[in-house]
Amino acid sequence: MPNTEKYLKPEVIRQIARLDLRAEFIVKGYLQGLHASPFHGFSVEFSEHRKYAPGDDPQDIDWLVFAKTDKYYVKKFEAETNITGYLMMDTSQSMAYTYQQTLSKFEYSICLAAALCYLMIHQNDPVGLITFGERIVNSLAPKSKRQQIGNILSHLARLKPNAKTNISHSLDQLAAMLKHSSLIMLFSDLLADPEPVLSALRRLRHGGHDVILFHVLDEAEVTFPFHGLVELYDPESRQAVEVDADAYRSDYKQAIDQFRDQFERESSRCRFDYVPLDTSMPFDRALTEYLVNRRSRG
Amino acid sequence: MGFVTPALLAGSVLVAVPLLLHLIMRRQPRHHTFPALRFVQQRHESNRRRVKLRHLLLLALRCVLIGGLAFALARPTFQWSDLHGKQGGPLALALVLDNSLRMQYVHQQQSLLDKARDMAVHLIDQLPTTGSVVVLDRGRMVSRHLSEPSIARTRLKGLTYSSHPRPMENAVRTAIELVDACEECRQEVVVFTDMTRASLTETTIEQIAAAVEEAPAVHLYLVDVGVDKPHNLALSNLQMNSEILTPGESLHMELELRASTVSEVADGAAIDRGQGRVPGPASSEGVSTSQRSQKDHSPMDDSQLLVELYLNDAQGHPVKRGQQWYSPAGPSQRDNKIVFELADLALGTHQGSIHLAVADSLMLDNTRYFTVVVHSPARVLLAGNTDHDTLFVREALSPSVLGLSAQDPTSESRSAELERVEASPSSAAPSRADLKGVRFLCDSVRFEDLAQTSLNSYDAVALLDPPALSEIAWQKLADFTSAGHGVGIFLGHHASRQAFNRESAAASLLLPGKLRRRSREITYFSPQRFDHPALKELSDYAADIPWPIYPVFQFWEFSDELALDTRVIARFHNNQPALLARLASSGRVLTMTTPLSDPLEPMGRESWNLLPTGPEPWPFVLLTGNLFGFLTQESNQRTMFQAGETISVPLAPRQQVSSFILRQPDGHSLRQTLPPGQDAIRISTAETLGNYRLAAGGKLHLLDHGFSINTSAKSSLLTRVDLAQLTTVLTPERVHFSRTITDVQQEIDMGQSGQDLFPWAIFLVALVWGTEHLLANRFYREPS
Repeated sequence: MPNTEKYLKPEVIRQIARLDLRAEFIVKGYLQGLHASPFHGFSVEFSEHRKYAPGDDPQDIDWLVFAKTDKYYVKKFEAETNITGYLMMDTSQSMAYTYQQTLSKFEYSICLAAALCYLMIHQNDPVGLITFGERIVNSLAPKSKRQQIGNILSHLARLKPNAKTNISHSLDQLAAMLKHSSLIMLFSDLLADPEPVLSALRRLRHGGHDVILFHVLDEAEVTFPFHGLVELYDPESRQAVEVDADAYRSDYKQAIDQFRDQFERESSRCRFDYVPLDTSMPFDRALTEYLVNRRSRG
Repeated sequence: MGFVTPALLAGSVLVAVPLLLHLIMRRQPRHHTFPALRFVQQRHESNRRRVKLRHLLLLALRCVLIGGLAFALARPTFQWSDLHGKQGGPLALALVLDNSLRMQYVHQQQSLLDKARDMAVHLIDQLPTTGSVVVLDRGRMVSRHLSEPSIARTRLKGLTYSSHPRPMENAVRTAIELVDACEECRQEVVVFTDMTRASLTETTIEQIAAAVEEAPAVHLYLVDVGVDKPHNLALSNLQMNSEILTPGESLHMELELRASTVSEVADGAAIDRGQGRVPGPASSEGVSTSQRSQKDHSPMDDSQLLVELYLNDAQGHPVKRGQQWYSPAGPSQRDNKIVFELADLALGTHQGSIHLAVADSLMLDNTRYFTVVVHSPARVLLAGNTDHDTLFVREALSPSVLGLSAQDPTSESRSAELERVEASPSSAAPSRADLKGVRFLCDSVRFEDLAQTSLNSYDAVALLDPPALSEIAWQKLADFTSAGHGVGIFLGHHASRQAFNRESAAASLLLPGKLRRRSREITYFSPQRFDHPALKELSDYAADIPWPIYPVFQFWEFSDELALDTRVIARFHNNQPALLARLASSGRVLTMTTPLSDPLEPMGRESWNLLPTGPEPWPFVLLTGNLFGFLTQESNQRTMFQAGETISVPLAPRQQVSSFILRQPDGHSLRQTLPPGQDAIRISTAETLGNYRLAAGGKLHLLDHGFSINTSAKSSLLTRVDLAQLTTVLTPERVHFSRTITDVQQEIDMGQSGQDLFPWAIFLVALVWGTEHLLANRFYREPS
């Protein structure tokens, strides 16, 4: 395994405290892995040079070419079309849950969002940030400047998942805010009534927006690793249930699968991307989903 | 249901522990934060019910576990019957085996006794070693105490048949008494029987029922080792015209061939042919012509069976003397007799057997043994007032039509004639042919000559209407009886009270008492019992003799003070003594209170009775022959005995026998010493069926006697007892009936101490414990 790919693993990323480094490691690790992947030669790759023109970002100047030719050239990427992306982060209290004390759903989502932000900015795509609970709490307007990375990451780093959630309402709010078709990347555990959420997603799609739904669950919420008699407590609803975990595991998994299948079916029907994740999965799955979506739009 | 340690049942209160734990110390669940609770809640209700059910199931299992453990440790026992037993006590077991000869019946290649023995051994093997056992049989040897099982096992192995079994009820009663004496023991009596009527008679059943009632703690088990439908071919008891024959007299033997079932007839014939015996014309030797014409032929059909007659030669080897083919009679058939006649037997003892040539299931009754003695006619001296007074008796004892009549009634001529006969037994004349049918040789003498007559050559003396005799004559007669001979006193009108009552001491040894008076009450002879040897021959005709037509007009009455050894053996119809017997030393004295030879119309007086002159002479002849047979000891000699009888061979005083040899049927000889002064040889150990021979004196032939031991035909009857009738007396509440030893074993285990259920209980407890453990592990599994 290349050294960079280890940064795609949550347990490794967890060791890195700074969010910007996490994002950088994730993206670099991912891009490094692409050399051996079907995504080789992808549009995000550098394709040609062109002469520097005023207004270009001096950071794009290829200093190696300048050293050889003594002329200013800047890198030109194949995908030059601009996609406005919104990273939409669920800050509900349930997102703070972690069973094995690794990355919580929220941390996992932040890492993923940061990586996507990092990636998008490097492609000169404007990206913004929206956080929501029962409603949209905060938002950053999308920009493609590099400072945007710092802004978003610093904002993400300050977020605390301690609110109740109303995803459908927040999505409706977002739909009302958007003037142009955008790419909305929703990070949430979707622990709410699915029908309103799906309705809101349909409305977004109807408004011409692309949606990538990152459904982030904790590993324990997928595998139900409990044994014996357990009392399960939902901090968000403050309800507790006592169950025989061993006897109930198969029933629980069946319920989770049905829930995911429901979104899967709706994603096919409404043409949005549904990415089921859990906190034990590497980040490349999410990034690939983004790039596939980006390519189809490019 | 019972318990060995019922106190441990108190441990069942510990069932409350899991209940309390369930109620007050319910296990707390692990707490987990879990945001996806909405998925859990979707099926929470069904899961909650399942959890509750498991809780209750575990609780129930734990309660059952504790309760079951207490139950098992209390050693539960299951009682099969409601009989009262002494729970927990050691076992006192009595095994009663019917070892009569009938148990020789072979079924499935095993005799019934062997079957019973195997079952008994098996039962002993299954019993605890702490128990005490006694084995009883129907033989004479009776165990008197309980012993260890190993001793009982040895006793069983040595068990043999008994030809003279004691009654079954005696053995059962002994068994009950033995186990009942062990008061603290569990008391069990197991009886192995073939369930035949011969074994369980009505008396036996009643006696057993009474014995069981007397011992309420005893449990009786009747194990049926018999066969439901037995098949047996049998020869009935052998009937002979006489065990003592005179020279020239034929031996006439009759018996029947019986089959227990009709179908057995064909079976028996098949067996017979299978033995390879050659059917054909019977040997004509010794068999009467008339019988040969009827029976001596080849078998006409398959159902006929061969019956053979064997006579032992001088060396004791059997020689076939005849054979006949017979169809066995069914149980309801009659008059199907097998008849053999042996003629021309020489003087001496002859032994043989009649054998049914069939190998059936019970061989016991396929052979009948016989012994017959041919000896010279007994010599009788008839003393009368005149020669004519002895006429009737002489003609009755030695009829003139047989050739040896009293034509010359002098004792000298008779003795000389007899000596000629004995000296030349093979000569032509006047050989034994002339003596054919003659039981007695009679001489006459007048009373006045009696004192001068030598009595040495006589076996008996008869005083026919004696007058007052001289002291010498009485003394001579007393000496005569002391020498083992017989004297008959037939009182008549010549007797007088004064003369007889003042007679000498010698006369008092012979007369039964003092004469009281002459009775003129008209009556008649009316014997009621015929067990005395002097009347035994009359028993077959007891119902046919018309005694009232032979009236007795006068008879003598004796005073009430009769001699101690006097026995009234027959009375008149008015209950006055008619015939009295005394045992004078080793001899015999018969006194008849009315004359035996009174003429029909005596001169100058009335007749005392019409016994010799009645309408039919045969009762008089029969009575006279029997009386003189007793006096001459002829009727005292027996050669045919049933198994178990004590054999008594009388010895004459002049027979100086100090030791003798008993040759047994198996060929072995047994020498025994006879204590001095014995007047008879008594043998009580002859239990083996067959022919025995007694010999003493070596070449002098002081003693040469034989006898045969047979078993009664009744003892081989295999008719089964009616179980319904049996159970009415021996109720199932007290007596258990079974056919297999397994039933007995189970009933003994379960009927008394009960079957120990501990293994089952502890197995169930372990099963419950395992289930509880499995469920608990599954339910409270720790996370890996």
